[in-house]
Amino acid sequence: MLNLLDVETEQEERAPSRDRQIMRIIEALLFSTADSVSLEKIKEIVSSVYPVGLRELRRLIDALREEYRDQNRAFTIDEIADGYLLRTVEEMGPYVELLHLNRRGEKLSKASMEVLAIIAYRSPITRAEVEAIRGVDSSGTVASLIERGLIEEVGRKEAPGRPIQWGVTKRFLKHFGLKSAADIHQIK
Amino acid sequence: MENFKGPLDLLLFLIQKEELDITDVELSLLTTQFAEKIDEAEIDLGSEWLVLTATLLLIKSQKLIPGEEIPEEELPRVAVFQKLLEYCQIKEAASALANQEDKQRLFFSRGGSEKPERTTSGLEEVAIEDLTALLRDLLARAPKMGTIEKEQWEVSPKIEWLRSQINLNRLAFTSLFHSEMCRGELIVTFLALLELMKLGEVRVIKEEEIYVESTGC
Repeated sequence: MLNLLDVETEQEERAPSRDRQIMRIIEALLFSTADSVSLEKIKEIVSSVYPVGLRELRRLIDALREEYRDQNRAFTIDEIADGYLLRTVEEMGPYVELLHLNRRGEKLSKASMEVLAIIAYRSPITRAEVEAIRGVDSSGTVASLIERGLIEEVGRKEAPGRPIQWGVTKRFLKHFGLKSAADIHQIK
Repeated sequence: MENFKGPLDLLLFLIQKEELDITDVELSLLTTQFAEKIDEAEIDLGSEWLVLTATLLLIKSQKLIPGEEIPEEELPRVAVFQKLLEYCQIKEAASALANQEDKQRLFFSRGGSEKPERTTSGLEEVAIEDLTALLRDLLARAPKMGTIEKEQWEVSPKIEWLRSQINLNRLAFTSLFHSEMCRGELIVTFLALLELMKLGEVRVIKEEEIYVESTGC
């Protein structure tokens, strides 16, 4: 197999190649934010200088990711919340955790997990429907999930009083490290 | 009793304790245990508990008293089983989610912590007296009106106007209230500002002067 990266490394000593430059842009974009960045957004930005297709972009992101892995870097690029997110690798977790002891969000309570699970699997769903499944009042739990930004209004049910229907947010996807809402069903 | 998250949770616990298959549960035993537990609690557990207990007792009585045959799907036990099965699935899903949360806690994205979870009204540094004094001062400067006219000023367009004025900048509080504004407009502008503070879009800061600035939200 022709080793493309080696060829590029030689060229880089003078000027970075087009591919290398795009990879650097991607890296810079992901580094700059705590949120995931969608492929479309990356394309939009990169295309302002280097016209690039989605497939090629995906290939370059994969190349960057492989590079991190091959070089045993502390970061990884993961597909989370309908985009790409730069985060530290799992192995570094215990160390990074020590730095952020007071800044980590509280773990969710058992009741919150139940309500979240119901909303994640049955969305769009009203609070009354959640309560019917759990057999217990869930207003406080729903309120705290809204406050934590894990659920949001996704519509109104065509029923008396037009009750709010809830669904999970992008923040939920990030919290649980999921690529998209459809991935919920793959959690084991 | 408080350890259980509702009647279904308790029922499920009892079923698991007896290691029974929930489609073939010895309900009379279960019902007795369930009722005992509720007696022990001696607190108002809400209508859901009552409904479930009543349903279980109905099922039990149907087993004890021979009578006319009721079609299988109309038996309350079918409904209870369905609810239990559904609840069981949700409990499993919830523990899978909790598991996933544990795994994900080892990954850190940039910024370390999430955004602050509560937005403040931005009133920490400005006392209510400061605000009332400002309002009083503004009203004193406004021309007095003799006749009552149709409401001319509304809060939501004012909010839009304030947003465009502030637009990520910091402005002197007084610059938002022009002296040519009438009483009604001043009040509406003031209400619009309070609303924006409540929404967490702007905050009011007191330094040498009182400023209004965007929070960037």
